[in-house]
Amino acid sequence: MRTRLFHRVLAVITILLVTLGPVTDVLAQRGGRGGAARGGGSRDAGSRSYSGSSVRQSRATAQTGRTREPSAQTSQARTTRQTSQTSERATQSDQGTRATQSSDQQRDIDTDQVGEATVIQGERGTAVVGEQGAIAAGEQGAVAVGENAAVGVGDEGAFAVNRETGQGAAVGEEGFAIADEGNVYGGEWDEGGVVWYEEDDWYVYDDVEAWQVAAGVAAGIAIGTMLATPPANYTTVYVSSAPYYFYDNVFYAPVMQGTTVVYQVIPPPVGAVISTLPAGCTTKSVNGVTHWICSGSAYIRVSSGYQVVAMPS
Amino acid sequence: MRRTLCRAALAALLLPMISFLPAGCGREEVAPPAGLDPRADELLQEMSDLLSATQRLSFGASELRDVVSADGEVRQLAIDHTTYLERPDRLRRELSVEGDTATVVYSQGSMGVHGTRQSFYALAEVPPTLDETLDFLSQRLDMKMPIADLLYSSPYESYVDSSTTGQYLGEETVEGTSCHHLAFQHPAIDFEMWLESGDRPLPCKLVLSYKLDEGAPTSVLTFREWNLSPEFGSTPFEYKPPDGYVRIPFRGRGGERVPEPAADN
Repeated sequence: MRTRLFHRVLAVITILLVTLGPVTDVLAQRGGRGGAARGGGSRDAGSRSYSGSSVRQSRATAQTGRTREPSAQTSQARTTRQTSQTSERATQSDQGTRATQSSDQQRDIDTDQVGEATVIQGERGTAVVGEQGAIAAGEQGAVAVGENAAVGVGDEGAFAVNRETGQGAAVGEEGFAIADEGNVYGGEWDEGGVVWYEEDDWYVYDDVEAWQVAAGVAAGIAIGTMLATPPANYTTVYVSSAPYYFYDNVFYAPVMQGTTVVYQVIPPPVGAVISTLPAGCTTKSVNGVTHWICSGSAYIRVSSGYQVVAMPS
Repeated sequence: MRRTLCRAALAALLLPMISFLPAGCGREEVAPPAGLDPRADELLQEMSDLLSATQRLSFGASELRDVVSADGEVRQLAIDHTTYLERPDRLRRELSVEGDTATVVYSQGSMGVHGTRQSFYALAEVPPTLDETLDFLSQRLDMKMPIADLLYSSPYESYVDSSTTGQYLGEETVEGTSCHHLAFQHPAIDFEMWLESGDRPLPCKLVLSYKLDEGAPTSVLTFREWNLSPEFGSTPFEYKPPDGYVRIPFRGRGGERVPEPAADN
């Protein structure tokens, strides 16, 4: 039990190390700063911008729990009404001044209720608070806190702590430290690294890439992430005449969002054929056929490369 | 002792990392707005009654929409809308922007969408009524439709609720037409509307101010070619993707799958 729990904690560290970039990008987009790039839909997948909405849609969105107050910039913009009524302008100008003063003292926040979780969104980060714990991500790091454990990752390192077992691990740019059953271990490296706990043993890797290869972890972009455009230099892969875009061991499927085509990161689709396998695969023989298991997907050798197949049981 | 140290270390680690969380929780609410001017209310209701009673209509609109980029820069996007409506359950929209034209066809519980820039189309199963479908498009699919309020069975109820205040600002000329100028405020959005003077109080112009968005972007729509008795057969509402287009799935606002029609159109 202890092993499993702490294993999970450290897995979160490593996952955060691998995915922090994309996650913070998505969070930044959800902050409404991405903006729609064209009409009729948002090119900025995941954005919750009001721009272009109807009055009813704006009201409904606001009523889902957003409690953000107009910013100073917003309040000033409100005074640019297209009316020549002098008295009304004066009133609005007064309101704008008051709001500006207020905003100087208070930062903007959004609060959404998603199921039983509360999502708090600020100018510089987002936090999700639930019954079992909380996670937060900002410009310089992210933390996840549960009942008995906490993990965190920042620009310069990461840590994991298990209150129940008293175990802890920290990884920095120049070294690592492990506390386990009263013993403390430490080491140095040149640039970053991963500490991994599995099957009652500690494993230390000099960098994320080395750990990815050993652990068979896919490139750091989360399944489900949606991008406005596929990455440059992609290869088109067809499966049953459906096109997929493939780059750096990641598959993207074109999907319609609003009236815009966006590109969603998906697991390797069964039937797709790629020329080379990703790093860190293991092999498994099933009925005499060698299967390469790579980051949770299975491949078999075919004449033109490696074909994605259903994961053997 | 070791645990105490551990907690202290954890606190030291957590505090600076979560310090980015915004302050200001529990701020005071702004006082509610004063009310709705009877003249503004009456004109908006007349417009709503006219559109509600019209079974078939078509109109066009030119929109200038502010778009705020990730670095805070605001640029303006020109979008052209053409709308065909047949109550209670048929709608066709065509919107052109930056050389791409998107076509959206809704008919009796199903919807098809395609553009001209990429050879993809998508089908979705949508609610059976137009009102429910408009809500579905905005809430589930995050489809931006600044003209949607005009298409509901009661545009008045779509524009106004108990938090809305409004004023009548007089008569002005818009694109050569004499129009009543109305202004409305709501905690979520401000909007101004110009309605044709006379016995056809149709929208001449609409300005939507998204004051909750960074930079308070606006959409300015100028309406044209209102036709309250158009002659169109069923063709505009039969969705047929262009030849050679490949079907792709719909995704909702959060990336979730959207139900597709049981049988292809």
